[in-house]
Amino acid sequence: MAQEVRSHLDQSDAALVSELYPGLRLFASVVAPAGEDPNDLVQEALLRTLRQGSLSRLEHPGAYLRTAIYHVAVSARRRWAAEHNAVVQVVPTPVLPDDPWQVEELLRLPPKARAVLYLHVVEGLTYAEVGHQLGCSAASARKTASRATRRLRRLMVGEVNDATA
Amino acid sequence: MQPLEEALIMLADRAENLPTDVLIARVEVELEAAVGADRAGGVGADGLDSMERSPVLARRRMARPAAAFAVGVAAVLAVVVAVTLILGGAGGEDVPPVDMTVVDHGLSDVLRVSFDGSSCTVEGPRSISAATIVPIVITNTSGFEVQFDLAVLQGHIVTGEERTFEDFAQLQRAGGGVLWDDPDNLIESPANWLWSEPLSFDRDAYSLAPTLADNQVLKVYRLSPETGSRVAFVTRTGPFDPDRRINPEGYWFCAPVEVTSIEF
Repeated sequence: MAQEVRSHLDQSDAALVSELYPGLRLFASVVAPAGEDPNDLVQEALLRTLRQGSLSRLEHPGAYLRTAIYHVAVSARRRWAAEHNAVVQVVPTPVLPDDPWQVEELLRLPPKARAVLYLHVVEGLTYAEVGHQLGCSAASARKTASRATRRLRRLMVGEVNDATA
Repeated sequence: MQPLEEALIMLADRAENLPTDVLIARVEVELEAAVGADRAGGVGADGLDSMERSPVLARRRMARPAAAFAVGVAAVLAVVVAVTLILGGAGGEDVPPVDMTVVDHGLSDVLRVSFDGSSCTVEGPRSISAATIVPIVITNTSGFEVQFDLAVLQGHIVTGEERTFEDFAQLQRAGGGVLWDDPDNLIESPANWLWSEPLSFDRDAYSLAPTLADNQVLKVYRLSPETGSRVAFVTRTGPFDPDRRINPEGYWFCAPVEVTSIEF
């Protein structure tokens, strides 16, 4: 149930935010859509969560907040697409000039694919755990990872042309 | 370290590392602004309604009056249909009301689906035909992601009307429709438009690939909260890998689907 709305974080929440922030920032950077500051995603996720009550009510606040960040990222991307009446348009994720080519290719994947790869490859979560965090089944997470890695391979060998061109 | 892992770590480390006291201060400012707006009848000190300030808050506020009722109902009624709501996509601790409208892009029948906190009811025709040009569109206007365990669409492919994906996509563009079923899976290749996350085949019932195209059962697992989310009744088939997942390299095709029932 919704908790009483409060405007300030208590000490335990503040301490938990400080503890969780580094990991949340990394995850938000992975899933952030074009034009979205990852720190804004973290902030929005915290806002959503804290509006409902203290972080201490959550069994796994870190996982909960990452789930929230992912959904904020997806919603932001959908808003962008809806506003632009996307049919074939693709969200152009800005690529910085000094990005190595592997990062550049990763940025061409949708947030879900990036999230799945990050959680599985870097954080070592199982597909079931990944699915739990992203709100999909283990099979869906596995499928997403499979498609993403296959696509990355193609991109790396130049087999995939940009359909928006 | 593998190149992929290395690239992912580099990607993850792109954002500015804020001092946490700055982050906390930003969150507190937002919380306070929202509280101020609530106490002032919706308008905060900055003149902005909290709904204007945050679409998330807007969705929650719109749901609030009925939420209490829905929760009360939920407390005394048995759960008729297993429905899980993921509040704001980040949990399921509240049970807000859901009001979904199922439309076909405004061209023919309309199904209205409402949820009172414990069960879904469907008003309108129970049999709808998928148009050949404009797909059936299910729009979830509730502001919340809805996860179904039981929503089932039963139908069959209209044989002889199969279209290649390219044909179908061309029709969509011609009709001005937006064809996506899971926008976060939209990537550069049009071949990914129809990747159907919300609609999945009942693979236990149809374990053999050739039977998938006829009398298939489509289970709706999830409707995303955005009003722009749409699902289209499309189908695909192809070789299966050993654990019966559809092989994405398989042959894809699209065809009108005659929906004979919809059950939530």
